[in-house]
Amino acid sequence: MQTPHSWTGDTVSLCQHCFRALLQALARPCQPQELPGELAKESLPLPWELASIALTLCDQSSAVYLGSGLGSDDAHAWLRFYTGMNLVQSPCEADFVLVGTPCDLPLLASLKQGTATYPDRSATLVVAGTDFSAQPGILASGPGIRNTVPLPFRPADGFLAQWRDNHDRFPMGVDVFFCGRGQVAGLPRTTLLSA
Amino acid sequence: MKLQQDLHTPGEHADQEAPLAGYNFAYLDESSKRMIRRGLLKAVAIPGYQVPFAGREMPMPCGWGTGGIQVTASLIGKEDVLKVIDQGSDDTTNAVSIRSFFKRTTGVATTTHTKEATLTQTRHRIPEEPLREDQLLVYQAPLPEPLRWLEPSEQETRVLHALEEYGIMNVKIYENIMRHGTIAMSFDYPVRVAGRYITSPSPIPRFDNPKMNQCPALQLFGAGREKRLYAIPPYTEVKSLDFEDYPFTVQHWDEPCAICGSRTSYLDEVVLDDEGTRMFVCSDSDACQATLAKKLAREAAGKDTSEASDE
Amino acid sequence: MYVAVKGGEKAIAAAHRLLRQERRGPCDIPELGLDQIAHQLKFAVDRVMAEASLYCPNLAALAIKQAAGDLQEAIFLLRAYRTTLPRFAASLPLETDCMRQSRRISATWKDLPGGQILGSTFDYTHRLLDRSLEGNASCDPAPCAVQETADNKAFACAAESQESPETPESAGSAGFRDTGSFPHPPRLPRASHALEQEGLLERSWSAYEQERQGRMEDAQTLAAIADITRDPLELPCDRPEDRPLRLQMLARADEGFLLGMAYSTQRGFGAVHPFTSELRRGLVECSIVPEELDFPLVIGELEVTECVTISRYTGTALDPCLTQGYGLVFGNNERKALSMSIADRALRAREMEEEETGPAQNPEFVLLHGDNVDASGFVQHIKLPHYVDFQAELSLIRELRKARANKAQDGAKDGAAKEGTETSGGAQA
Repeated sequence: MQTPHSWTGDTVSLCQHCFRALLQALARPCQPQELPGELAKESLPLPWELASIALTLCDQSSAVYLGSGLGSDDAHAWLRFYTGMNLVQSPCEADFVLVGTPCDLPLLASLKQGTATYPDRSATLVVAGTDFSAQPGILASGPGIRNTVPLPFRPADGFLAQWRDNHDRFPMGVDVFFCGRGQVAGLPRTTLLSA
Repeated sequence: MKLQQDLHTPGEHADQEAPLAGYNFAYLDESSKRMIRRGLLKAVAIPGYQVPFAGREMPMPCGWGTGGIQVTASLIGKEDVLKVIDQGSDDTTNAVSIRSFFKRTTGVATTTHTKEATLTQTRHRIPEEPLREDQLLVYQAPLPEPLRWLEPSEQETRVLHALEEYGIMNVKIYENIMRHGTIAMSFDYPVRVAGRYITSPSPIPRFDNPKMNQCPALQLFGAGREKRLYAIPPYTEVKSLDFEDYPFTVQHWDEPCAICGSRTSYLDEVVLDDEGTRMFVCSDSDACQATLAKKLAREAAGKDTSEASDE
Repeated sequence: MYVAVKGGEKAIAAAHRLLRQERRGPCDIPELGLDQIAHQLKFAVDRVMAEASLYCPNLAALAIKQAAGDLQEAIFLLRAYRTTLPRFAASLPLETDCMRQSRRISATWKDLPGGQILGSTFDYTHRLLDRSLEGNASCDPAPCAVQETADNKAFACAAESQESPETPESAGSAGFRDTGSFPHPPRLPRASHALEQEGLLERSWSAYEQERQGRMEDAQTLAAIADITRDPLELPCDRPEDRPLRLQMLARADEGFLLGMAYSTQRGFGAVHPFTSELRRGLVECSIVPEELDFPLVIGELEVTECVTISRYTGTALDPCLTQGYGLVFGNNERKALSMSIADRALRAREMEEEETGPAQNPEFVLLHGDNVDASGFVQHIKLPHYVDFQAELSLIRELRKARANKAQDGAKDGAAKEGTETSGGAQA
């Protein structure tokens, strides 16, 4: 197997492209954006979309919780080596929660929600393995969306109810990125989902 | 009449000049950019809320656009086309200085044409040309807290925002009306974003406030000295504060722009002589040139259609 | 003429050329060297290093030269450079007890363990212009340095027998020359130690100190202390545990601002009437613990000025006792170190439940307004064009005056045929 620390690409450019995709994704909820493909061909111990996002957002000053789908030592080693992130044991302490598959989703209410005076101090959840080929007929509305747009993936069971609670906690609450197949879609706390 | 800004070729490439030796692309180091990027994402997720960030010292003075510059530095990439305006114009000294800073540190293409820009950094104006979805607007915000004049303590204003306790702002507007018969605020006119946070639009004239509402472009604000970031996502309701019986209005002028003849743009007043003769000209120099070019083209084509200047 | 109100790239380039010329001055005068600045304008260099929070005399000298002696401009230059530097490690706390001292005085004790060392100081100089400096005075440093050091020592240990000024060790023990001969200088406890032992010093301070000593080696705890250059400041910043943050802010705050704050509390806007428990200056070692090794490595020496002031507690929450304020500044800067310790003490008013009577006791006021890079930028930004906003104000004022004049006219019509000669407001509208 290839060593996990073999990638030596241009992180400055990768992170800039990836950030612009994330920014647009969050500013235009549920409208998937292309992620830069620099890492797509690397053999990585974790989904490349997730690796790109982690590289872009996480460093020594971020407390990160890795979901069980990312439990491999190689994934830990890769993330630690390239980002220097601080791994934490419990999702409720994390600024970022990275999850390998949609079925691994933690309870949104168990993550950092921010406070009334500092609602920005809430967790960002990043979910890999999202399949953007199915549209389950759920409509999204809110800031960043002109009228409505369809939710571009099928949510996990019970997610919609959790999301309603998260949305109701505004201005506190969790923000989510769903990524997969080279794309990323944002779901900020302001977005209302309705069947 | 030819403006100096026309001397720049639009989309001028500075590829040959390598980014400034000894400094990272766009000046800021990657960890500072990451910190700002994390802040910007939270700012977008909570429209109009001021996210504290650890503003860095930039090689320009605080109060001269360091917040906007840090935001731009965190956004900008090699493919971007950058426009920088101050008071609506690309040719004001500070706009020139900031544009040349980014040319030196990134080598990206710059433009004076709003239409060509992917990224526009502005101080005190929103371009007259409507912005598109594929454009970003970065504001330099000197005093991000709209409640600051009413409550000097940051601790207190933060609590007021948390409780959505905006009574003092209504009282201020009411007092304004009592005293002046109108809402006497001409720039930095506070807005309410997405029905929640009262937010400073930065010191743009209130003429520009309506452009923020349901704008297709993402609007980002950076306050360097006060160390705050905030954002207005695209297609978001931005309402200028008013009362039902005293609705929000914008400035208007009795005469058109002396250069292009526009009656729909924001005008600057220029004093011409000691007698106090005045001339009014567009503050947005790019829009002014575009209108003028169209007008001249029409005149040259000899199409004597009605009044062409009302563009 | 429209273009004339705007500045172009050419104008800016020309302004910069002019500035460079003015900085250089007439070419028949020799150019200043950095070593001249670093060694002959040391106070300027020290101030720039302190407020830029970057210890590097050479770069500070360069900044001063480039700024043509404008120290705030030089501070800004160095700060902006500092921001771009990568961070390799966080140092351990400086052990100022182990300082190689060049000066140490206490105003509270006539004599104390370790003695008083007057060192170099402007104190007691008569502020008379020294005309002998007008020319290029000859320099004969070696013997005079030895002599001074010896005299200083004599002041320090008045009771001990006079040492021979010629012995190199006596110069080395108090001067900076002898960098080769380690081990550490002896640990010299603080002048306040005796008070602490007697229990006369506030308990919170001692507890904090003990805690600090205890966790000195614990790099993780150190990393947990927020860094004002990396984390946003969170107000009110008035709890005891916020003190490290406040001290960081004060250490790089504008010297003049801090001096004013300290002065205001001494005059009565806030009740700090301090004694100088101790003021010391000298070289301290700076160490880091690299991640791969688990022992500290000395990476260099810094000159610092440290000050502890003590004052009587005037509140009611504690038993009668003495309280402390702390100042620590890069280089030789006693004015700043003293001001800092007084301001530090004043800012603890809330935690000590004292009455707040002056701005120096308000953390938000002091911390947000003391940074001269922020302050100078914002004050000077009003030089930037504001004609859009000004135009907005103008049209609003015209509108308001017009409305008022119309109203007055209507009023005059209604209020019978009293003719009004005071319609000056309407004339301009």
